Amino acid sequence: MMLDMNRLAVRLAQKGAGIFPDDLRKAARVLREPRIQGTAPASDRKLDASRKWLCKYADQYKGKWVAVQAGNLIGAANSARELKNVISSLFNSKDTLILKVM
Amino acid sequence: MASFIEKLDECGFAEGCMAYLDHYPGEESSSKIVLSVQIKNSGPIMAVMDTCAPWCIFDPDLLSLLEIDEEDGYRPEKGLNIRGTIYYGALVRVPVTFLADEGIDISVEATVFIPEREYDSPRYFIGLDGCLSRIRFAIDPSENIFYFGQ
Repeated sequence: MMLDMNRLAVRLAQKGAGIFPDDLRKAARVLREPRIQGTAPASDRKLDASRKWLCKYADQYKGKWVAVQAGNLIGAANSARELKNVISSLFNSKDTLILKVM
Repeated sequence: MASFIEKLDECGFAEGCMAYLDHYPGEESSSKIVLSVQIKNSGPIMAVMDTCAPWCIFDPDLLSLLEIDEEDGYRPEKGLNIRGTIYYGALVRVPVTFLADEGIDISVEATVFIPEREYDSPRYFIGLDGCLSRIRFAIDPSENIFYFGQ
């Protein structure tokens, strides 16, 4: 079974877990239909300003991981781990946009 | 900002919308739909919508920083073909949240492939069957708006 054959993989994992519960429990848990986990009102993350910054300046940071908050660059680094060290707790902030520029 | 959010909300199709980038930052020559999503408890991430991808595909380095443990996942014997190259790795279940500029955010528990090694392409893909197939969505290319609902 190729991993690209996702629908077949989901069906087989669910069916197989009924026959071989010990062996396929993990596969059945991972290979199942996606499900809605929850909803929440949108909050003001100022992502529009950060997207505009990317359109304007991303080319200057090719190959780098960058963090942009409210339209301002707050960090750039060679790896995600290095970027996390640079910007510390802002790394997981809900309004800090993280990406690797290609 | 989004011309159709009220109409799509009224008819129950979409509850939220976000602006998307029409290219991945640094790759202007190639058109894409690049969405703002949150992975588990991360900050917003730019991810390429890919209706050909069977699963979401996320960068292994960043996922390790989010304390997503591949050991909790399933490691198939077969690999996944990403742009002509076979990559081996693990499939995990991860919450992916579509971040609304207007309306509501929606979180989907998605199946995500984490390759063992880096791949030379944008870091995140949102796949159809493992994630997008669970929501309603519509694209307005004239305004670069992605509408979504459950």
